[in-house]
Amino acid sequence: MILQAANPAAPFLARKLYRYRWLLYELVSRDLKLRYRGSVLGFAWTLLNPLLFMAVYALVFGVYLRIGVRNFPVFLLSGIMAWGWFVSAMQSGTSSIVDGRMYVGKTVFPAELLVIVPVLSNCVNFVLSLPFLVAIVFAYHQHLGLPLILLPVIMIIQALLTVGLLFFVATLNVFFRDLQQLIQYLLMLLFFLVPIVYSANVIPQSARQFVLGDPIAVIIMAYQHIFYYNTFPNLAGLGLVFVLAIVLVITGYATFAHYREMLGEYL
Amino acid sequence: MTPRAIAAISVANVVKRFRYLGIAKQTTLKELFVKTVRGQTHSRRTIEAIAGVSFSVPAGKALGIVGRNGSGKTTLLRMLAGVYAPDEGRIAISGSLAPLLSLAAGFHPDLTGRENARIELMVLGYSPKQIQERMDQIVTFAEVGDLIDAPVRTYSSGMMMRLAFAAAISVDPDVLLLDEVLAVGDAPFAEKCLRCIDDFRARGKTIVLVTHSMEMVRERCDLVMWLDQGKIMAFGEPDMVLDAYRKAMAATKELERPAKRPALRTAIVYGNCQAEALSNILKKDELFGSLFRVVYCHNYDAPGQDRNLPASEDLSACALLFSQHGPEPFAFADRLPKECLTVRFPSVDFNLLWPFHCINPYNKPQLPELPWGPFPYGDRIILDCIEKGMAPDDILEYYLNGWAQYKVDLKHITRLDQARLEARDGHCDIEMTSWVMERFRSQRLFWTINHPTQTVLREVVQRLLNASVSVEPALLEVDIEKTQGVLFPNWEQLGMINIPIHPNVAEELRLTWYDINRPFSSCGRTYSYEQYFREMIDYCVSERAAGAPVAASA
Repeated sequence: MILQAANPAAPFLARKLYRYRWLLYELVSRDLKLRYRGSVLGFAWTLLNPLLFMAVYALVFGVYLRIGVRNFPVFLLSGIMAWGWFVSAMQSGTSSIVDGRMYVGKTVFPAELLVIVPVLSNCVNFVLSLPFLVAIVFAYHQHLGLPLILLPVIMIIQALLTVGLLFFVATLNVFFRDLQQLIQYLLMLLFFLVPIVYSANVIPQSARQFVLGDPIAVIIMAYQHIFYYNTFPNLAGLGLVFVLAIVLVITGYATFAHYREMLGEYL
Repeated sequence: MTPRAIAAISVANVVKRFRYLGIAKQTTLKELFVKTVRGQTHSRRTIEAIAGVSFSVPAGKALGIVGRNGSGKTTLLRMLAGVYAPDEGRIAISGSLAPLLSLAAGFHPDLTGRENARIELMVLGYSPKQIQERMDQIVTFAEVGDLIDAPVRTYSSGMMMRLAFAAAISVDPDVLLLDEVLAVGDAPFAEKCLRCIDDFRARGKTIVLVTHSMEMVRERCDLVMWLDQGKIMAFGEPDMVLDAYRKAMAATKELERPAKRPALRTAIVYGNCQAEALSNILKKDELFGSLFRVVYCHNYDAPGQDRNLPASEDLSACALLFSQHGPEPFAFADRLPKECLTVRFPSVDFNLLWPFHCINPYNKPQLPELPWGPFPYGDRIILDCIEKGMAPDDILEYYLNGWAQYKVDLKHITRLDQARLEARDGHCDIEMTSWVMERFRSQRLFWTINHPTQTVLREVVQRLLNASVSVEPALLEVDIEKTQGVLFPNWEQLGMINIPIHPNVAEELRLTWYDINRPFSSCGRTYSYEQYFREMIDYCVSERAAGAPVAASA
């Protein structure tokens, strides 16, 4: 084993992930276990969560506010489940390095894993609640078809984008703990900026370019295309988001690697 | 080619810089904004923690790194472990590596010992299957018993060290890195670790250890590096390097002492771990600290510590000596100034809590596999019952319910214990016996027969202060309660054991706080009262069966 100046390059990250695959697996499964430890329903919450979410939003936006989308629960659920993955990963990911302070800076523990774990564990949750989404789709007599093959691709793009963002945010949060609070409101704002509880058609033409250019919106709408419209999503848009995600992962990891050795001093 | 020793570690021209950040710890956005406006966020100042270091360690050798605090020892060790990457130069390590860098770091407080050990090994690259194979060995070696499945926040520092050491050693690495980790932990375990390290060396493995203990370096290292301000001052044979290091340290001490230390009088506290706790209370008190420099001087050889001798200027400036009564009186009394006041105080313990305290009757040198260690306490009734050939079940029954007929006169024993304490008080300038006897009924004053709680220690401190007023009238104003709640080093270990008190003893002493149903923990396990004695009896019986001679129990 030879140690030289730190290598912040992303291929190095990939090698590291392979090297620590068991640790990653352990941390993700522990994260999932801890989430429902001490709760009566336990794992059932994975399915209950989207159901309750759907019930609340369907009531507010489908019944009271009358968004006017046909089969609103299907539309809502196809976007909000992926949003749930994103937002939970961002929330626990932001404080992941601070929360893992016992590992950072003083031991050989690969701290980058701390950032990746919430993305993966929430991804597992997302996947496990997919059958519920499928059941709702069929319950409303809608169809699923060939666009479904793009699902893994969209998920990979979303995972990369979230990881890239988190490398920045989690690193910065070590130096400015305000971020942990701030991010809640930013995410809430983003939630309403992305067409999740309303359809993109209702956005005024003047603002449409702005809202739909949001990479998160591109991803969420891709899920809606697959599960609600049963059509292929905007591939060019997804391609751009993919490139953006890669750039974010590379620069985010470089930023994290740059500050890595300082993190311990601030925790 | 002759088979030359292969370098296990080779380090070439390694430099490590740390950059001072203009951003202070825990900056808020507001402060950041102010600093950004003023252009204070970026500082170009760097410090070279390691300034061009080259060396190599042949496989099978043990390297000790010594140096003052802040000399770069820990940074270098962390670089060897791969925590820090070098800014310049190259570090090559051949073979597998296990670092044991700092206590508690790397342990998640909410995860159990087992889960933490798993993660520790996964960090070293082991698969779940490989870890499963080693887990039993780790649990056995760490001696944490059932607590392996309890969260590590319930562990004492000694237990954490044992677990960390056990995990590191279980992977049988080619290179072991140790950072000052053997400083905590009890003597038997420290010995076990040392044996392990010796065994490691014997098998041709490489060790790097950072330590302040010269003994450790001299006895266990083939090579020594003396590091100062990130540079190697000397590297080579232990005797040569340590000699140079010691001389240099003595020289700087003489240079620095007069400037750094104002003419503060010294208060020396001499004695066992109780005395150390007392010295810690005194150190934490602001008023006392402004009047005296507190120096603790132990009367025993603590594991992992150098024999601590008071510095000569501490002796010559000594105005107060708090000296614990014991078999070994303070050895430097003749070097104290004439006007120094000596206040002798007793060590406070209570034998009756273990009513039939006796020495190990089996007198065996090896450590038995018992949670309470090498027979620290005996029990005459149990031993006598065994001699009469009673079965273990009968002994337990007899012990719990029958021993009133055994003509144990608890009143008499209580009087003996009190007399013993009073006799000790008689050798001292302050007395504690009546205070302890009065209060023990209403509150728990001891964790074990010889580990008193904070309440007792504070009372001792208060009495010591009262007895020293002639030296410094201001001592009357010291309010020891201000240091209440401050946790001291070693506090946890003092509070760790929780000995079981026989209900008859509790009744005789009329202990109002006593509850037999309360489970207690000892040496990393939780017991009920019966379980504890059950194991104790089984141990004695098996020892007897092994044919060990039983000393006559008086």
